[in-house]
Amino acid sequence: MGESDRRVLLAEDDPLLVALVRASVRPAGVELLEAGTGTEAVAIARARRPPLVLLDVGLPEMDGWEVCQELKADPATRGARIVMLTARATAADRERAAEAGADGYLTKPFSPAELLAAVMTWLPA
Amino acid sequence: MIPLRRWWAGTSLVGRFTAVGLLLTVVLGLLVGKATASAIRITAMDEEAQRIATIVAGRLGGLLRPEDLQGSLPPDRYAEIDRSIQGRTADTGTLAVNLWRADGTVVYSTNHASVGRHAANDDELADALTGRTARSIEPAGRADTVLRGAAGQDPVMEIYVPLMFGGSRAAGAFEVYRDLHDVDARIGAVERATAIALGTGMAVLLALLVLVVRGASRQLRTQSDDLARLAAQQEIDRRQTEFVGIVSHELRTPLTALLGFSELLLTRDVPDADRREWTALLHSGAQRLGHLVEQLLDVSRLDEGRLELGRARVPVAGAVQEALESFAALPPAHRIEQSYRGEPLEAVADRDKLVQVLTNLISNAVKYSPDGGLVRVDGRPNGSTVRISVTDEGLGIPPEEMATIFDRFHRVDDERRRTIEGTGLGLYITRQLVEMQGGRIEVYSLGPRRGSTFTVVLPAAADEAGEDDADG
Repeated sequence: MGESDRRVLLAEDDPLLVALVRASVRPAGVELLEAGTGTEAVAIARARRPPLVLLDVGLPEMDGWEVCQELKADPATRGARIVMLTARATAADRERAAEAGADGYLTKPFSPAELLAAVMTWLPA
Repeated sequence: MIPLRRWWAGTSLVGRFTAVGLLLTVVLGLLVGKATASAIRITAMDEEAQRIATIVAGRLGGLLRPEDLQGSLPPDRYAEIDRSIQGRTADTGTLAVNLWRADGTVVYSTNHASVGRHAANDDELADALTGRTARSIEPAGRADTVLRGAAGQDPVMEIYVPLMFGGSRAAGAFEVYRDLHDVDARIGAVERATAIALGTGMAVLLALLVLVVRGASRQLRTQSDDLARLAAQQEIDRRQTEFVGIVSHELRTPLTALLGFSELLLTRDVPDADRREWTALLHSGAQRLGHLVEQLLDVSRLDEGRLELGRARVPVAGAVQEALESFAALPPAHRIEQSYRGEPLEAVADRDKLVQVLTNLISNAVKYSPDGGLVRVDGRPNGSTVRISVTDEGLGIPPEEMATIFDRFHRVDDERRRTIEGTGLGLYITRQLVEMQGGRIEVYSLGPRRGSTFTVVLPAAADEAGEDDADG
Protein backbone atom coordinates (compact mmCIF):
# COMPACT_ATOMS: atom_id res chain seq x y z
CA MET A 1 0.00 0.00 0.00
CA GLY A 2 2.65 2.63 -0.92
CA GLU A 3 5.09 4.18 1.54
CA SER A 4 2.33 5.06 4.03
CA ASP A 5 -1.18 3.66 4.29
CA ARG A 6 -3.60 6.57 4.85
CA ARG A 7 -6.87 4.71 4.81
CA VAL A 8 -9.25 5.25 7.74
CA LEU A 9 -12.46 3.27 8.33
CA LEU A 10 -15.24 5.39 9.84
CA ALA A 11 -18.10 3.40 11.38
CA GLU A 12 -20.84 5.92 12.16
CA ASP A 13 -24.59 5.77 11.51
CA ASP A 14 -25.44 9.46 11.73
CA PRO A 15 -25.01 11.26 8.37
CA LEU A 16 -24.32 14.59 10.08
CA LEU A 17 -21.37 13.16 11.98
CA VAL A 18 -20.09 11.33 8.90
CA ALA A 19 -20.02 14.70 7.12
CA LEU A 20 -18.25 16.31 10.05
CA VAL A 21 -15.57 13.62 10.28
CA ARG A 22 -15.09 13.75 6.52
CA ALA A 23 -14.55 17.52 6.65
CA SER A 24 -12.39 17.36 9.76
CA VAL A 25 -9.85 14.80 8.54
CA ARG A 26 -9.48 16.27 5.05
CA PRO A 27 -6.15 18.09 5.81
CA ALA A 28 -4.61 14.73 6.81
CA GLY A 29 -5.07 13.52 3.25
CA VAL A 30 -6.74 10.29 4.31
CA GLU A 31 -8.92 7.97 2.30
CA LEU A 32 -12.13 7.54 4.28
CA LEU A 33 -13.93 4.18 4.13
CA GLU A 34 -17.47 4.49 5.52
CA ALA A 35 -19.67 1.94 7.28
CA GLY A 36 -23.19 2.57 8.66
CA THR A 37 -23.57 -0.53 10.84
CA GLY A 38 -21.42 -2.72 13.04
CA THR A 39 -21.54 -5.73 10.73
CA GLU A 40 -20.67 -3.55 7.76
CA ALA A 41 -17.70 -2.15 9.71
CA VAL A 42 -16.36 -5.66 10.46
CA ALA A 43 -16.82 -6.71 6.82
CA ILE A 44 -14.99 -3.65 5.44
CA ALA A 45 -12.21 -3.97 8.03
CA ARG A 46 -11.63 -7.59 7.03
CA ALA A 47 -11.77 -6.91 3.30
CA ARG A 48 -9.73 -3.68 3.18
CA ARG A 49 -7.56 -3.93 6.32
CA PRO A 50 -7.32 -0.17 7.06
CA PRO A 51 -4.64 0.71 9.67
CA LEU A 52 -7.05 2.99 11.64
CA VAL A 53 -10.72 2.56 12.60
CA LEU A 54 -12.90 5.33 14.05
CA LEU A 55 -15.69 3.44 15.77
CA ASP A 56 -18.94 4.95 17.06
CA VAL A 57 -20.21 3.14 20.17
CA GLY A 58 -23.91 3.34 19.32
CA LEU A 59 -23.95 1.40 16.05
CA PRO A 60 -26.95 -0.62 14.90
CA GLU A 61 -26.84 -4.42 14.62
CA MET A 62 -23.49 -4.76 16.46
CA ASP A 63 -22.48 -2.01 18.81
CA GLY A 64 -19.03 -0.42 18.74
CA TRP A 65 -17.72 -2.48 21.66
CA GLU A 66 -18.62 -5.73 19.95
CA VAL A 67 -17.02 -4.59 16.68
CA CYS A 68 -13.85 -3.62 18.57
CA GLN A 69 -13.64 -7.00 20.33
CA GLU A 70 -14.24 -8.83 17.07
CA LEU A 71 -11.55 -6.89 15.21
CA LYS A 72 -9.03 -7.33 18.05
CA ALA A 73 -9.75 -11.06 18.21
CA ASP A 74 -9.21 -11.63 14.50
CA PRO A 75 -5.50 -11.99 13.55
CA ALA A 76 -6.28 -10.40 10.17
CA THR A 77 -7.58 -7.16 11.70
CA ARG A 78 -5.80 -7.18 15.07
CA GLY A 79 -3.16 -4.73 13.81
CA ALA A 80 -5.64 -1.92 13.16
CA ARG A 81 -5.65 0.92 15.65
CA ILE A 82 -9.10 1.56 17.01
CA VAL A 83 -10.37 4.89 18.33
CA MET A 84 -13.83 4.81 19.92
CA LEU A 85 -16.25 7.71 19.52
CA THR A 86 -18.30 7.74 22.74
CA ALA A 87 -21.10 9.90 24.04
CA ARG A 88 -19.89 9.81 27.61
CA ALA A 89 -16.51 9.37 29.21
CA THR A 90 -17.30 7.80 32.52
CA ALA A 91 -14.76 5.62 34.31
CA ALA A 92 -16.86 2.62 33.30
CA ASP A 93 -16.60 3.61 29.63
CA ARG A 94 -12.82 4.03 29.83
CA GLU A 95 -12.56 0.63 31.46
CA ARG A 96 -14.74 -0.86 28.80
CA ALA A 97 -12.63 0.70 26.05
CA ALA A 98 -9.52 -0.88 27.60
CA GLU A 99 -11.29 -4.21 28.01
CA ALA A 100 -12.47 -4.25 24.42
CA GLY A 101 -8.90 -3.53 23.34
CA ALA A 102 -9.47 -0.02 21.97
CA ASP A 103 -6.38 2.11 21.48
CA GLY A 104 -8.06 5.41 22.29
CA TYR A 105 -11.35 7.23 22.47
CA LEU A 106 -12.88 10.61 21.71
CA THR A 107 -15.86 11.97 23.60
CA LYS A 108 -18.76 13.70 21.86
CA PRO A 109 -18.88 16.57 21.30
CA PHE A 110 -15.35 16.28 19.89
CA SER A 111 -13.81 19.12 17.94
CA PRO A 112 -12.50 18.72 14.38
CA ALA A 113 -9.02 19.71 15.61
CA GLU A 114 -9.06 16.94 18.24
CA LEU A 115 -10.21 14.44 15.68
CA LEU A 116 -7.56 15.50 13.18
CA ALA A 117 -4.89 15.27 15.87
CA ALA A 118 -6.05 11.77 16.84
CA VAL A 119 -5.98 10.62 13.23
CA MET A 120 -2.48 12.06 12.72
CA THR A 121 -1.30 10.42 15.93
CA TRP A 122 -2.69 6.99 15.24
CA LEU A 123 -1.99 6.70 11.51
CA PRO A 124 1.36 5.03 10.87
CA ALA A 125 3.96 7.49 9.61
CA MET B 1 -80.42 -12.93 42.34
CA ILE B 2 -79.06 -10.45 39.85
CA PRO B 3 -78.90 -7.52 42.33
CA LEU B 4 -77.35 -9.88 44.87
CA ARG B 5 -74.77 -11.01 42.34
CA ARG B 6 -74.07 -7.41 41.38
CA TRP B 7 -73.73 -6.46 45.05
CA TRP B 8 -71.37 -9.41 45.61
CA ALA B 9 -69.22 -8.43 42.63
CA GLY B 10 -69.00 -4.84 43.81
CA THR B 11 -68.18 -5.59 47.44
CA SER B 12 -64.78 -5.80 49.04
CA LEU B 13 -63.42 -8.97 50.58
CA VAL B 14 -64.09 -7.65 54.07
CA GLY B 15 -67.66 -6.76 53.11
CA ARG B 16 -68.26 -10.26 51.77
CA PHE B 17 -66.68 -11.78 54.84
CA THR B 18 -68.91 -9.69 57.11
CA ALA B 19 -72.08 -10.60 55.19
CA VAL B 20 -71.32 -14.32 55.12
CA GLY B 21 -70.25 -14.15 58.77
CA LEU B 22 -73.52 -12.47 59.78
CA LEU B 23 -75.53 -15.09 57.92
CA LEU B 24 -73.56 -17.91 59.53
CA THR B 25 -73.93 -16.29 62.96
CA VAL B 26 -77.70 -16.08 62.57
CA VAL B 27 -77.97 -19.73 61.48
CA LEU B 28 -75.52 -20.91 64.11
CA GLY B 29 -77.24 -18.75 66.76
CA LEU B 30 -80.60 -20.33 65.87
CA LEU B 31 -79.20 -23.86 66.08
CA VAL B 32 -77.33 -23.27 69.32
CA GLY B 33 -80.35 -21.40 70.72
CA LYS B 34 -82.64 -24.32 69.91
CA ALA B 35 -80.32 -26.86 71.49
CA THR B 36 -79.79 -24.65 74.53
CA ALA B 37 -83.51 -23.97 74.89
CA SER B 38 -84.23 -27.68 74.82
CA ALA B 39 -81.59 -28.32 77.50
CA ILE B 40 -82.91 -25.42 79.56
CA ARG B 41 -86.47 -26.73 79.28
CA ILE B 42 -85.54 -30.21 80.50
CA THR B 43 -83.51 -28.81 83.37
CA ALA B 44 -86.25 -26.34 84.31
CA MET B 45 -88.89 -29.10 84.25
CA ASP B 46 -86.76 -31.31 86.44
CA GLU B 47 -86.21 -28.46 88.84
CA GLU B 48 -89.90 -27.64 88.90
CA ALA B 49 -90.79 -31.29 89.50
CA GLN B 50 -88.26 -31.41 92.31
CA ARG B 51 -89.62 -28.21 93.83
CA ILE B 52 -93.20 -29.51 93.76
CA ALA B 53 -92.05 -32.87 95.11
CA THR B 54 -90.28 -31.17 98.02
CA ILE B 55 -93.35 -29.06 98.83
CA VAL B 56 -95.72 -32.03 98.50
CA ALA B 57 -93.50 -34.33 100.54
CA GLY B 58 -93.05 -31.63 103.21
CA ARG B 59 -96.68 -30.58 103.47
CA LEU B 60 -98.52 -33.83 102.78
CA GLY B 61 -96.01 -36.48 103.92
CA GLY B 62 -96.92 -36.20 107.62
CA LEU B 63 -100.62 -36.17 106.85
CA LEU B 64 -100.91 -39.86 106.18
CA ARG B 65 -100.43 -42.91 108.27
CA PRO B 66 -99.40 -46.37 106.98
CA GLU B 67 -102.87 -47.75 107.59
CA ASP B 68 -104.39 -45.12 105.27
CA LEU B 69 -102.85 -47.08 102.41
CA GLN B 70 -104.04 -50.54 103.47
CA GLY B 71 -107.47 -50.41 101.90
CA SER B 72 -110.12 -47.86 101.01
CA LEU B 73 -110.25 -44.75 103.15
CA PRO B 74 -113.19 -44.47 105.51
CA PRO B 75 -115.36 -41.44 104.56
CA ASP B 76 -114.43 -39.45 107.67
CA ARG B 77 -110.77 -39.99 107.11
CA TYR B 78 -111.20 -39.25 103.42
CA ALA B 79 -112.93 -35.92 104.21
CA GLU B 80 -110.23 -34.99 106.69
CA ILE B 81 -107.44 -35.78 104.23
CA ASP B 82 -109.32 -33.93 101.45
CA ARG B 83 -109.58 -30.75 103.53
CA SER B 84 -105.91 -30.84 104.44
CA ILE B 85 -104.71 -31.55 100.89
CA GLN B 86 -106.95 -28.90 99.32
CA GLY B 87 -105.77 -26.39 101.92
CA ARG B 88 -102.12 -27.19 101.64
CA THR B 89 -101.84 -27.29 97.84
CA ALA B 90 -104.03 -24.32 96.90
CA ASP B 91 -101.04 -22.00 96.55
CA THR B 92 -98.68 -24.40 94.75
CA GLY B 93 -100.06 -24.10 91.26
CA THR B 94 -101.09 -27.72 91.18
CA LEU B 95 -104.24 -28.63 89.29
CA ALA B 96 -105.03 -31.88 90.97
CA VAL B 97 -103.55 -34.37 93.43
CA ASN B 98 -104.05 -38.15 93.41
CA LEU B 99 -102.86 -40.56 96.06
CA TRP B 100 -101.84 -43.96 94.70
CA ARG B 101 -101.51 -47.14 96.61
CA ALA B 102 -98.56 -49.37 95.80
CA ASP B 103 -100.88 -51.78 93.97
CA GLY B 104 -101.77 -49.04 91.45
CA THR B 105 -105.14 -47.99 92.85
CA VAL B 106 -106.20 -44.39 93.50
CA VAL B 107 -107.21 -44.08 97.14
CA TYR B 108 -107.68 -40.35 97.17
CA SER B 109 -108.13 -37.70 94.47
CA THR B 110 -108.98 -34.01 94.49
CA ASN B 111 -111.28 -35.16 91.71
CA HIS B 112 -113.24 -37.60 93.78
CA ALA B 113 -114.54 -39.51 90.73
CA SER B 114 -111.02 -40.85 90.18
CA VAL B 115 -110.94 -42.76 93.45
CA GLY B 116 -110.70 -46.47 92.89
CA ARG B 117 -109.24 -46.04 89.40
CA HIS B 118 -106.58 -48.61 88.70
CA ALA B 119 -103.44 -48.13 86.58
CA ALA B 120 -102.21 -51.45 85.23
CA ASN B 121 -98.71 -50.37 84.27
CA ASP B 122 -97.69 -46.80 84.90
CA ASP B 123 -93.93 -46.30 84.48
CA GLU B 124 -93.82 -43.09 86.51
CA LEU B 125 -95.77 -44.69 89.36
CA ALA B 126 -93.48 -47.70 89.27
CA ASP B 127 -90.49 -45.32 89.42
CA ALA B 128 -92.00 -43.42 92.34
CA LEU B 129 -92.64 -46.66 94.25
CA THR B 130 -88.88 -47.31 94.19
CA GLY B 131 -88.41 -44.02 96.09
CA ARG B 132 -87.57 -41.64 93.22
CA THR B 133 -89.51 -38.60 92.13
CA ALA B 134 -90.75 -39.16 88.60
CA ARG B 135 -92.35 -36.81 86.11
CA SER B 136 -93.93 -36.83 82.67
CA ILE B 137 -95.41 -34.19 80.42
CA GLU B 138 -98.91 -34.86 79.20
CA PRO B 139 -99.81 -33.07 75.98
CA ALA B 140 -102.84 -30.82 75.93
CA GLY B 141 -106.13 -32.74 76.22
CA ARG B 142 -104.43 -35.97 77.27
CA ALA B 143 -104.59 -35.39 81.00
CA ASP B 144 -106.80 -38.19 82.13
CA THR B 145 -108.23 -36.34 85.04
CA VAL B 146 -110.52 -33.37 85.00
CA LEU B 147 -108.34 -30.79 86.55
CA ARG B 148 -109.28 -27.93 88.73
CA GLY B 149 -109.62 -24.62 86.94
CA ALA B 150 -108.16 -25.90 83.67
CA ALA B 151 -109.91 -26.92 80.50
CA GLY B 152 -107.15 -29.30 79.49
CA GLN B 153 -105.92 -27.05 76.65
CA ASP B 154 -102.40 -26.65 77.94
CA PRO B 155 -99.92 -29.45 78.46
CA VAL B 156 -99.55 -30.47 82.06
CA MET B 157 -96.74 -32.09 84.01
CA GLU B 158 -97.46 -35.11 86.14
CA ILE B 159 -95.16 -35.45 89.11
CA TYR B 160 -95.06 -38.64 91.16
CA VAL B 161 -93.79 -38.13 94.70
CA PRO B 162 -93.05 -41.27 96.68
CA LEU B 163 -94.73 -41.62 100.04
CA MET B 164 -92.32 -43.32 102.41
CA PHE B 165 -92.92 -44.70 105.92
CA GLY B 166 -89.38 -45.96 106.41
CA GLY B 167 -87.82 -48.82 104.50
CA SER B 168 -86.58 -48.71 100.91
CA ARG B 169 -89.93 -49.10 99.16
CA ALA B 170 -92.65 -46.52 99.06
CA ALA B 171 -96.03 -47.38 100.43
CA GLY B 172 -97.66 -45.26 97.76
CA ALA B 173 -97.21 -42.04 95.80
CA PHE B 174 -98.77 -38.67 95.36
CA GLU B 175 -99.49 -37.79 91.77
CA VAL B 176 -99.50 -34.04 91.30
CA TYR B 177 -100.74 -32.32 88.14
CA ARG B 178 -98.85 -29.14 87.57
CA ASP B 179 -100.11 -26.51 85.19
CA LEU B 180 -97.25 -25.79 82.80
CA HIS B 181 -98.65 -22.43 81.75
CA ASP B 182 -96.68 -20.30 84.20
CA VAL B 183 -93.73 -22.67 84.14
CA ASP B 184 -93.62 -22.25 80.37
CA ALA B 185 -93.68 -18.50 80.75
CA ARG B 186 -90.77 -18.69 83.18
CA ILE B 187 -88.83 -21.07 80.95
CA GLY B 188 -89.62 -18.88 77.93
CA ALA B 189 -88.14 -15.90 79.73
CA VAL B 190 -85.00 -17.87 80.55
CA GLU B 191 -84.79 -19.10 76.95
CA ARG B 192 -85.17 -15.58 75.61
CA ALA B 193 -82.55 -14.25 77.97
CA THR B 194 -80.22 -17.05 76.92
CA ALA B 195 -80.87 -16.47 73.22
CA ILE B 196 -80.25 -12.73 73.60
CA ALA B 197 -77.09 -13.35 75.58
CA LEU B 198 -75.90 -15.93 73.05
CA GLY B 199 -76.81 -13.76 70.08
CA THR B 200 -75.15 -10.71 71.58
CA GLY B 201 -72.08 -12.70 72.50
CA MET B 202 -71.74 -14.14 69.02
CA ALA B 203 -72.36 -10.79 67.39
CA VAL B 204 -69.68 -9.23 69.57
CA LEU B 205 -67.37 -12.10 68.68
CA LEU B 206 -68.09 -11.63 65.00
CA ALA B 207 -67.58 -7.87 65.28
CA LEU B 208 -64.22 -8.47 66.94
CA LEU B 209 -63.33 -10.95 64.23
CA VAL B 210 -64.33 -8.50 61.50
CA LEU B 211 -62.28 -5.79 63.17
CA VAL B 212 -59.27 -8.09 63.34
CA VAL B 213 -59.68 -9.19 59.71
CA ARG B 214 -60.26 -5.64 58.54
CA GLY B 215 -57.19 -4.48 60.42
CA ALA B 216 -55.13 -7.28 58.95
CA SER B 217 -56.47 -6.64 55.47
CA ARG B 218 -55.81 -2.91 55.79
CA GLN B 219 -52.30 -3.64 56.92
CA LEU B 220 -51.81 -6.02 54.01
CA ARG B 221 -53.24 -3.46 51.63
CA THR B 222 -50.97 -0.76 53.01
CA GLN B 223 -48.01 -3.06 52.62
CA SER B 224 -48.93 -4.04 49.08
CA ASP B 225 -49.58 -0.37 48.28
CA ASP B 226 -46.15 0.46 49.61
CA LEU B 227 -44.63 -2.28 47.50
CA ALA B 228 -46.53 -1.13 44.41
CA ARG B 229 -45.46 2.47 45.03
CA LEU B 230 -41.87 1.36 45.43
CA ALA B 231 -42.00 -0.69 42.23
CA ALA B 232 -43.64 2.21 40.38
CA GLN B 233 -40.98 4.60 41.72
CA GLN B 234 -38.25 2.23 40.62
CA GLU B 235 -39.82 1.99 37.18
CA ILE B 236 -40.00 5.78 36.99
CA ASP B 237 -36.37 6.02 38.10
CA ARG B 238 -35.33 3.44 35.53
CA ARG B 239 -37.20 5.19 32.75
CA GLN B 240 -35.83 8.55 33.82
CA THR B 241 -32.29 7.21 33.72
CA GLU B 242 -32.97 5.70 30.32
CA PHE B 243 -34.56 8.95 29.20
CA VAL B 244 -31.59 11.02 30.32
CA GLY B 245 -29.23 8.57 28.60
CA ILE B 246 -31.07 8.70 25.29
CA VAL B 247 -31.63 12.44 25.46
CA SER B 248 -27.99 13.13 26.19
CA HIS B 249 -27.03 10.94 23.24
CA GLU B 250 -29.63 12.58 20.99
CA LEU B 251 -28.46 16.03 22.05
CA ARG B 252 -24.76 15.29 21.71
CA THR B 253 -24.89 14.33 18.05
CA PRO B 254 -26.34 17.60 16.68
CA LEU B 255 -24.30 19.51 19.25
CA THR B 256 -21.13 17.85 18.00
CA ALA B 257 -22.09 18.85 14.45
CA LEU B 258 -22.84 22.45 15.50
CA LEU B 259 -19.59 22.88 17.39
CA GLY B 260 -17.60 20.97 14.76
CA PHE B 261 -18.81 22.77 11.66
CA SER B 262 -18.69 26.19 13.31
CA GLU B 263 -15.11 25.45 14.39
CA LEU B 264 -14.22 24.36 10.85
CA LEU B 265 -15.78 27.52 9.41
CA LEU B 266 -13.91 29.69 11.89
CA THR B 267 -10.50 28.04 11.64
CA ARG B 268 -10.09 26.82 8.10
CA ASP B 269 -9.65 28.74 4.96
CA VAL B 270 -11.74 26.77 2.48
CA PRO B 271 -13.39 27.27 -0.89
CA ASP B 272 -16.88 28.82 -0.99
CA ALA B 273 -18.47 25.51 -2.01
CA ASP B 274 -17.22 23.85 1.20
CA ARG B 275 -18.22 26.86 3.22
CA ARG B 276 -21.74 26.66 1.83
CA GLU B 277 -21.98 22.92 2.43
CA TRP B 278 -20.73 23.20 5.99
CA THR B 279 -23.10 26.07 6.71
CA ALA B 280 -25.97 23.96 5.40
CA LEU B 281 -24.89 21.06 7.64
CA LEU B 282 -24.56 23.46 10.57
CA HIS B 283 -28.06 24.68 9.88
CA SER B 284 -29.37 21.13 9.63
CA GLY B 285 -27.76 20.27 12.98
CA ALA B 286 -29.28 23.37 14.56
CA GLN B 287 -32.68 22.45 13.14
CA ARG B 288 -32.37 18.97 14.53
CA LEU B 289 -31.42 20.33 17.92
CA GLY B 290 -34.35 22.73 17.78
CA HIS B 291 -36.73 19.96 16.79
CA LEU B 292 -35.45 17.73 19.55
CA VAL B 293 -35.85 20.48 22.16
CA GLU B 294 -39.38 21.08 20.88
CA GLN B 295 -40.23 17.39 21.16
CA LEU B 296 -38.70 17.08 24.61
CA LEU B 297 -40.79 20.03 25.77
CA ASP B 298 -43.88 18.33 24.34
CA VAL B 299 -43.04 15.09 26.10
CA SER B 300 -42.40 16.91 29.35
CA ARG B 301 -45.72 18.77 29.08
CA LEU B 302 -47.53 15.55 28.21
CA ASP B 303 -45.95 13.63 31.08
CA GLU B 304 -46.83 16.30 33.58
CA GLY B 305 -50.30 16.78 32.12
CA ARG B 306 -49.59 20.47 31.58
CA LEU B 307 -50.71 20.49 27.96
CA GLU B 308 -53.92 22.44 27.59
CA LEU B 309 -56.20 21.42 24.79
CA GLY B 310 -59.08 23.32 23.31
CA ARG B 311 -62.19 21.63 21.92
CA ALA B 312 -63.77 22.96 18.80
CA ARG B 313 -65.28 21.87 15.52
CA VAL B 314 -62.32 21.52 13.19
CA PRO B 315 -62.84 21.05 9.45
CA VAL B 316 -60.60 18.11 8.56
CA ALA B 317 -59.69 19.35 5.07
CA GLY B 318 -58.61 22.70 6.52
CA ALA B 319 -56.39 21.05 9.14
CA VAL B 320 -54.74 18.82 6.50
CA GLN B 321 -54.16 21.90 4.30
CA GLU B 322 -52.50 23.71 7.18
CA ALA B 323 -50.29 20.68 7.90
CA LEU B 324 -49.28 20.44 4.23
CA GLU B 325 -48.07 24.04 4.22
CA SER B 326 -44.95 22.96 6.08
CA PHE B 327 -44.09 20.63 3.18
CA ALA B 328 -43.84 23.39 0.60
CA ALA B 329 -40.41 22.22 -0.48
CA LEU B 330 -41.36 18.58 -0.86
CA PRO B 331 -38.81 16.34 -2.56
CA PRO B 332 -39.98 15.96 -6.17
CA ALA B 333 -40.20 12.16 -5.83
CA HIS B 334 -43.25 12.47 -3.55
CA ARG B 335 -46.82 13.23 -4.51
CA ILE B 336 -49.55 14.01 -2.07
CA GLU B 337 -53.22 13.26 -2.74
CA GLN B 338 -56.21 14.08 -0.57
CA SER B 339 -59.73 12.75 -0.60
CA TYR B 340 -62.67 13.39 1.70
CA ARG B 341 -66.08 11.88 2.14
CA GLY B 342 -69.07 13.13 4.11
CA GLU B 343 -68.44 16.84 3.67
CA PRO B 344 -68.25 19.01 5.55
CA LEU B 345 -66.15 16.56 7.56
CA GLU B 346 -65.60 18.03 10.98
CA ALA B 347 -63.91 16.57 14.05
CA VAL B 348 -64.03 17.71 17.66
CA ALA B 349 -60.42 18.54 18.41
CA ASP B 350 -57.83 21.13 19.33
CA ARG B 351 -57.06 22.62 15.94
CA ASP B 352 -53.34 23.31 16.54
CA LYS B 353 -52.74 19.86 18.03
CA LEU B 354 -54.60 18.15 15.21
CA VAL B 355 -52.42 20.03 12.72
CA GLN B 356 -49.34 18.94 14.70
CA VAL B 357 -50.53 15.31 14.63
CA LEU B 358 -51.16 15.45 10.86
CA THR B 359 -47.82 17.19 10.25
CA ASN B 360 -46.02 14.43 12.19
CA LEU B 361 -47.79 11.67 10.28
CA ILE B 362 -47.27 13.26 6.83
CA SER B 363 -43.65 14.05 7.71
CA ASN B 364 -43.12 10.38 8.70
CA ALA B 365 -44.82 9.21 5.51
CA VAL B 366 -42.42 11.30 3.41
CA LYS B 367 -39.38 10.53 5.57
CA TYR B 368 -39.86 6.77 5.56
CA SER B 369 -40.50 6.48 1.85
CA PRO B 370 -36.99 7.43 0.71
CA ASP B 371 -37.68 6.24 -2.82
CA GLY B 372 -40.59 8.63 -3.12
CA GLY B 373 -44.08 7.67 -4.11
CA LEU B 374 -47.61 8.59 -3.24
CA VAL B 375 -48.68 9.88 0.16
CA ARG B 376 -52.45 9.72 0.48
CA VAL B 377 -54.50 11.59 3.06
CA ASP B 378 -58.09 10.34 3.40
CA GLY B 379 -60.85 11.64 5.63
CA ARG B 380 -64.20 9.95 6.12
CA PRO B 381 -66.96 9.72 8.70
CA ASN B 382 -67.55 6.47 10.58
CA GLY B 383 -70.52 6.49 12.93
CA SER B 384 -69.89 9.11 15.60
CA THR B 385 -66.22 9.35 14.64
CA VAL B 386 -64.04 10.81 11.92
CA ARG B 387 -61.19 8.72 10.48
CA ILE B 388 -58.21 10.48 8.98
CA SER B 389 -55.63 8.17 7.35
CA VAL B 390 -52.14 8.91 6.08
CA THR B 391 -50.88 6.17 3.75
CA ASP B 392 -47.45 5.89 2.17
CA GLU B 393 -45.70 3.46 -0.16
CA GLY B 394 -42.54 3.44 1.89
CA LEU B 395 -40.48 1.17 4.13
CA GLY B 396 -43.47 -0.26 6.01
CA ILE B 397 -43.42 -1.74 9.48
CA PRO B 398 -42.50 -5.32 10.40
CA PRO B 399 -45.36 -7.07 12.29
CA GLU B 400 -43.26 -7.50 15.45
CA GLU B 401 -42.78 -3.72 15.70
CA MET B 402 -46.49 -2.85 15.60
CA ALA B 403 -46.97 -3.08 19.35
CA THR B 404 -43.99 -0.90 20.28
CA ILE B 405 -43.98 1.65 17.50
CA PHE B 406 -45.75 4.26 19.65
CA ASP B 407 -43.40 3.78 22.62
CA ARG B 408 -41.16 6.56 23.74
CA PHE B 409 -37.77 6.49 21.95
CA HIS B 410 -38.77 3.45 19.97
CA ARG B 411 -37.39 3.38 16.45
CA VAL B 412 -37.92 0.62 13.96
CA ASP B 413 -34.60 -1.15 13.50
CA ASP B 414 -34.14 -1.50 9.81
CA GLU B 415 -31.11 -1.04 7.57
CA ARG B 416 -32.74 1.53 5.33
CA ARG B 417 -34.05 3.58 8.22
CA ARG B 418 -30.64 4.01 9.74
CA THR B 419 -29.65 7.00 7.70
CA ILE B 420 -33.03 8.62 8.39
CA GLU B 421 -32.68 10.76 11.46
CA GLY B 422 -35.27 10.57 14.18
CA THR B 423 -35.56 10.74 17.92
CA GLY B 424 -38.15 8.03 18.45
CA LEU B 425 -40.40 10.62 20.08
CA GLY B 426 -42.61 11.67 17.17
CA LEU B 427 -45.13 8.81 17.23
CA TYR B 428 -45.14 8.78 21.04
CA ILE B 429 -46.11 12.46 21.07
CA THR B 430 -48.56 11.93 18.22
CA ARG B 431 -50.40 9.16 20.03
CA GLN B 432 -50.50 11.12 23.29
CA LEU B 433 -51.93 14.15 21.49
CA VAL B 434 -54.58 12.06 19.76
CA GLU B 435 -55.61 10.29 22.96
CA MET B 436 -55.79 13.54 24.88
CA GLN B 437 -58.33 14.72 22.31
CA GLY B 438 -60.51 11.72 23.09
CA GLY B 439 -59.35 9.82 20.02
CA ARG B 440 -57.10 6.92 19.16
CA ILE B 441 -54.49 6.09 16.58
CA GLU B 442 -54.20 2.89 14.55
CA VAL B 443 -51.37 1.59 12.43
CA TYR B 444 -51.52 -0.81 9.53
CA SER B 445 -48.78 -2.16 7.31
CA LEU B 446 -48.46 -5.14 5.02
CA GLY B 447 -44.87 -5.43 6.22
CA PRO B 448 -41.38 -4.21 5.28
CA ARG B 449 -41.18 -2.28 1.98
CA ARG B 450 -44.94 -2.39 1.56
CA GLY B 451 -45.93 0.97 2.95
CA SER B 452 -47.93 1.82 6.04
CA THR B 453 -51.16 3.55 7.04
CA PHE B 454 -51.67 5.55 10.21
CA THR B 455 -55.27 6.34 11.04
CA VAL B 456 -56.38 8.96 13.54
CA VAL B 457 -59.89 8.38 14.90
CA LEU B 458 -61.50 11.42 16.52
CA PRO B 459 -65.01 12.20 17.75
CA ALA B 460 -67.09 13.67 14.95
CA ALA B 461 -68.65 17.08 15.42
CA ALA B 462 -72.36 16.45 15.95
CA ASP B 463 -74.94 18.52 14.07
CA GLU B 464 -76.23 19.92 17.34
CA ALA B 465 -73.59 22.15 18.84
CA GLY B 466 -74.67 21.10 22.33
CA GLU B 467 -73.52 17.53 21.84
CA ASP B 468 -69.97 18.55 21.20
CA ASP B 469 -68.94 18.44 24.81
CA ALA B 470 -70.82 15.28 25.70
CA ASP B 471 -68.43 12.74 24.27
CA GLY B 472 -65.12 13.83 25.72
